[in-house]
Order: sequence, then C-alpha cells, then structure tokens
Amino acid sequence: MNYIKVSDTISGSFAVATEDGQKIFDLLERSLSDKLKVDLDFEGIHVMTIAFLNAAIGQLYSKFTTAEIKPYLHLIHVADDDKILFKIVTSRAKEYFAQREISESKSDEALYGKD
Amino acid sequence: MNNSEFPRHSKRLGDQIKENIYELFENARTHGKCKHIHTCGQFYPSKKKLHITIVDTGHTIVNNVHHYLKKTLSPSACIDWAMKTGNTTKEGNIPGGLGLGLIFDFINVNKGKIQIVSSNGYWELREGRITKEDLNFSFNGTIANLEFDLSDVNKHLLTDEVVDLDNTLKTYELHKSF
Repeated sequence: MNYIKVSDTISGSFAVATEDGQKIFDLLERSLSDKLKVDLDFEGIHVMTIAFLNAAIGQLYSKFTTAEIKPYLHLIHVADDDKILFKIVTSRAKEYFAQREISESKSDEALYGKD
Repeated sequence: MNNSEFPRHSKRLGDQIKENIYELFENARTHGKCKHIHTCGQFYPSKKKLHITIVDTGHTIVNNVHHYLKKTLSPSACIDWAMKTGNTTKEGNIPGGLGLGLIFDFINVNKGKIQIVSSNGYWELREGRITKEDLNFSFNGTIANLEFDLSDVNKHLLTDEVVDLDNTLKTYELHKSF
C-alpha cells in the first residue's frame, strides 16, 4: 500500500496549479501501473480547483480504465464540499477521453479506410 | 469576501466563489501561456460595486479557439464558445473545462456582470443575458472583469443549503398527527 499526502507533495495547502496536479498524477500513475493500492490524503488542503484535479485525477483516465483505478485509489480526508469536484472531474474525464477515442478512430478511418 | 460590504452569503458558497476565482487565475496562466498575470481590484463605495480584473498578455481566447476548432468564428463567437460549460481548447491528456459555472451563477443572481475582452472580441454576461461584439481594435491578450453588486441585500446560499420550510412544517404536522 502506498501513501501520498497531497499537502506534502505540493508543499502547501493550495491545490490550485496544474503543475501541482501533475506531481500527484506522476505518483499515482506509478502506483496504478504496478497495481498497488494507494491512499491519497487531502488533509491540510484548504483550496482545491478543478484545474488541479483535472491534472491529478482526470488525467488518470487517459491511461487507465475505471476498473483499473477504482479498486486501487482510495481518497481520504476530502472535505465534504470538495467531494462534488471529484464527481465533476471524473465524469468529465471519462467523457473527454471517450470523445477523443471516437474522433481519433474517425480520423484513422478517413485516412486509412475501414478495416 | 469576508468584508461586510460583500453580499451576504454562506461560508460554503464563499469558499466556492474563492475557488472559482483561483480557477480564473489558473485558466489565464495555462491558456495564455504567459509569464505574468496582472490583476487589480477596485471598490466603488458610492456606486456599491466591486471589480476584480485579471489580465494576461499571452495567447488570446480567439487564437486558441481558432487553433482548436480549425475553423474561423467571429472573435466574440470564439469567446462565447470558450465560456460554455465543458468546452475547452486544451489538448493532450489533461481534460479541461467546467471550472467557472458557480461564479457565473452567482454573478447572475447578484446582478453583477462578467466582461471579457480577448483580441478583438468582447463578451459580456449580465443577469443571464449574453452580449457579444466584435471590436474595431485589438487587445494583445485577455482581460476578464468581474463586477459584483454590493447593494444586493439578499443572502446567497448553495441550492442544497436551502431548507424547504413548507415541507419541514408539513412533516412536523404529519408527525404531530400520529
């Protein structure tokens, strides 16, 4: 089991910048690639933006499926008011990558024809 | 936000408005791709208005939308496209969009306004109505101005904080009758 404390990783209580979200993503990606369970601890985080969460969590859906994320990633100490942000970000990420896959397959079809 | 001049609001709503303002700064930084963001605030005590303005001199919304959609829209239509929930010019593995819905809703009910100038496009949201205009001059970046109406005497809450008193009383009556 891995443990990531967000406030330690980003050296502060403001989870706002995309670059800080990227730091969290890099750590999560390693754990999920190795199929290791990970506790992501938000204790001490006072401000959180969708931009940060898109980079930290939403981006996971570019590499992993829900089935590859859900059993391994455990969010802890998320403020009640911030829980909705996770729902928004994960729904949007699933939609974003599904649309991208459709448009990529349409481009491939246009270039190379149907199999 | 905690100043007594600011329209009354719940702590939860205040926290979320603050988060949306941080979101605006982060949008300016990541979409503008520029080194510096300029910001200022102005309180108008007699007009009872508060303005918060964020300016970047990086890539404009108009350029970003043209590049992303690969088609030409009018400058103000580009801003309008970018302001719609879920639309984003971000490419790559980090999804975008969605960060500003709450502040838009709040400014609408507060009877404030949001004004955006990017390149030669102008876009304004006031009381739920959008105004678009293509300008005959161009600004080399993006200006976002938020205006809050401080004469607003209402107390603002998030939807899920509103207690339906009628139903609460009905429930009480029901309990009493047992």
